[in-house]
Amino acid sequence: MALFKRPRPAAAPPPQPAAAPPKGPPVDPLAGDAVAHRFRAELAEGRWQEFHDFLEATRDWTSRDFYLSRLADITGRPAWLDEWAAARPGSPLPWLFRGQHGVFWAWQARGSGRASTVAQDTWPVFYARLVDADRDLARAAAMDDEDPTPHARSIQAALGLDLGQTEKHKRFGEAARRFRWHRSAHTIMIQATAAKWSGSNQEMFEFARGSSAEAPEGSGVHVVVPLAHLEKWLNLPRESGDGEARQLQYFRDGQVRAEIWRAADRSVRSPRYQPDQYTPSDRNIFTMCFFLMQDYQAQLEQMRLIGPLIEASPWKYHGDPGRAYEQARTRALQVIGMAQGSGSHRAP
Amino acid sequence: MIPVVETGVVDGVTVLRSASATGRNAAALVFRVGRFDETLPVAGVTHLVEHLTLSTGQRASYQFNAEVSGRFTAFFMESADPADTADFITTACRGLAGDHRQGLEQEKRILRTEAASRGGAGALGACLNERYGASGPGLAAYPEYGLHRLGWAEVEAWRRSWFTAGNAVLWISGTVPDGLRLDLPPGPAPAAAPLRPLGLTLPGFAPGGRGGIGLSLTGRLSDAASVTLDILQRRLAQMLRHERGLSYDVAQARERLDGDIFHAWLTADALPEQTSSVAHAMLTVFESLAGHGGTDEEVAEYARRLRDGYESPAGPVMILHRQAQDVLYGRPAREPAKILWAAGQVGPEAVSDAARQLLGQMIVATPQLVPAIQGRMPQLPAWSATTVSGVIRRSRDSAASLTTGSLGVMLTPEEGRHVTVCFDAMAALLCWNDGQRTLVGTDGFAVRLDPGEWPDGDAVVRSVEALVPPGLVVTIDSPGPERPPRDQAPAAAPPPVAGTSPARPRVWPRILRGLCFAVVAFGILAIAGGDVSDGIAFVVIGVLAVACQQLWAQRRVRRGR
Repeated sequence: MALFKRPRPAAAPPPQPAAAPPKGPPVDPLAGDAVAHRFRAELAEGRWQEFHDFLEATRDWTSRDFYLSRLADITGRPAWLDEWAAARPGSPLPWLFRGQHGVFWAWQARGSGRASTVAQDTWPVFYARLVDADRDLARAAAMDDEDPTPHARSIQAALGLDLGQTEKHKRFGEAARRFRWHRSAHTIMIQATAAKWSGSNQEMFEFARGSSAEAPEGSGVHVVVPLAHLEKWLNLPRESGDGEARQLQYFRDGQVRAEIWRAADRSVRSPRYQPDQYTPSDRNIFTMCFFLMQDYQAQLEQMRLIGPLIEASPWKYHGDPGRAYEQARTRALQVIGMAQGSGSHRAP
Repeated sequence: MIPVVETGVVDGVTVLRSASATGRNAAALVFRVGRFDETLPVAGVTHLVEHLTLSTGQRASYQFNAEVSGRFTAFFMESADPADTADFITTACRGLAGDHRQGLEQEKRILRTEAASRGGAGALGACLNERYGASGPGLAAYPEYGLHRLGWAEVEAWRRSWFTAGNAVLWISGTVPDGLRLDLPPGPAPAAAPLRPLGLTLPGFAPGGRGGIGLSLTGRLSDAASVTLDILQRRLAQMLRHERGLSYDVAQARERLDGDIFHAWLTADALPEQTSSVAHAMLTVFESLAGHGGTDEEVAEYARRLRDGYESPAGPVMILHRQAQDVLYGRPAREPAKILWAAGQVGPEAVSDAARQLLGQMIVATPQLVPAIQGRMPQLPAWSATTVSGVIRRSRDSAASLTTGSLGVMLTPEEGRHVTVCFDAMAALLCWNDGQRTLVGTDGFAVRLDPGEWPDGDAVVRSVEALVPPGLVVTIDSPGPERPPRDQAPAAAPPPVAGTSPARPRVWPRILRGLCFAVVAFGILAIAGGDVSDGIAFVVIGVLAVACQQLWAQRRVRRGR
């Protein structure tokens, strides 16, 4: 028998599971494209043959880029990629697809966080996958001199391998020489010229503004302007001590708003806008900017056009993309409702 | 016209001759001995022999010089008068037989001065060191330590064994002078020690060098390898300089490591911000060559340039020197026409095979970590794989520990990372005049011992010295490498360089401690003198100060500062 009894601590209440915030509507990474959905199901079972034929017949470079990039985003390394390459050695397509997958696969190892969040032993894996991806993309490029896709996609490999701004611009130049208004080549270059990938705000905006100034009305390339502003906005807290305060004000700046409006008027809001597979992406990007600019009429106008085709990017910057999208919509409706009740609301 | 080489023998020495393309005589007396034949404690002995040979002070009216490379020593001259050739050969042979003990120290000093102005072997030497450690070609990474140690007896013995008639070839481009004599001691060519490459997993990379990228490549001598290296260099120059403007110079240097194996050093310079891009481009081009081979046009261009070289004014000298090296290695000297024919037969497959072989044995030297290289190959080991057990001591300066046992010495800068030198695999023990010691292992790893850093440091040094054969000891009359700052863990000692600034021993903590003890002693004296209260105060203050200092020092050790 113990001489002294320690007071038994009161039983702690069982931990209550944190109430999960309600999920928003689903996000479709295939942008509602029925063809893409069909091929994704086939590829999931290792059946690449029909997709090969489809991709081979697709010489519209925007479409090829869309199906390639959206369907190659597969977790892990499927064995059928090598089987495809072995079965069609004379075709650039298996190398193109495997190269694009290699880029995604590399980032699966690295994660999407800042470099400081990456474990030391992860870097060699990340780099090795990028080197392999770059070899595949170079091989695809050598086999089809007309196709801008491998050049555009290889910018991502150059970015991860830290090959420098000269190399990134060279690769962009190769893509643009084959298709001047290649949307993905332009949007990837926003990342490639950003400060976090050895570029700078100045370089990024020079590229974005220059591209938008030259792009024809109705082109999806104008999306580089809101993308550049979103990139800068995201990075503000790391730039200075008052970054978070500046972030709150960023999209209320008159020049920022004017630039985004000008880009929107020349693309998603233009009667000459040419819809394609990337249209949901274009509209989601502009919509989030309108939301941050508190231009709720324009935001809701784009949301009506988006319908159910919510894209993960850029809403993921606010957490769950579907929920962020819904919250933005609710906020806009509330403000518009109040405005209608008390007077008027006018978009600039 | 391609020069024709005639062969003869004079005084037991093979003589090669061809017509001169310039009308002037050129000649070289070549011996099959060089830096790679030495050992670390006598490194520089061949260079010393070369200097002493031509140190007679006589001023010749013709051009002459001498050179020591990895495997060859050549005394060469050039003149319009064939009689000068005979004079030079006689002078060289007389110099090789002379007693130079009077001028020995002066020449050693001159050589140390030459080394100081020349600088180190840089990334090339570092790569050879990675491959061969502190032996054979790996010695290129080290200073000529023998210059601190060699006496006349050792120099003379070296000369007697290597500079013999059986280990020499004389080549002459031009006229063989009347009455040519080669008065060299008789004797066969000594057997060269076999190459002892370390068991590395290759390809691999090693951070080092100041800028740009260096590729260290080894392979068997072959026509395909020569063609492949030429194509590779030209493709790289075309891409890096002419197409992309990333490099100013793409250079290649090749050297025989023994009779069959060569080492090629292929470099491209680059601005720091372009280093990654240059590395990626170099390796991509190399991989492409390994994958697809060269084109017929590239092979034909190589053969044409080779023929141009043979037919140029420098052609005879180039051919003669190469043939002399073949003869000295006991290989049949190949006629230029046969080499040209064989080069023209090299096909894409052979180029591809040679490139694959070279890639598989490659070491890449980079100024910093380069993602495009990290993604292709591992970094070469920076730490020893072997460990030894024995007495463990903690550093006074850092979190490092030192293990000394009967089998060797092991420095452990941090948990799981060791630098080990075993006594049965030692290349040299360097003894600096400030008390520091550097143990260099045959694998190239080195442990620096500073007696001031370790408890019982002097005893440790004495115990280590007792286990090292005297033939491996080099006493250097200058201070050892400076100890790293106290906030850095000691690392593997780099290939040590003589003449660095002295180490700064840690004296101020000892002074502080001495003052504390003085305060205590003062207090005791005061108590003894009757001032009890003040005396106790001094004693308490002194004791507290010592205790605080001790606690602070232990904390520094625990934090690894």
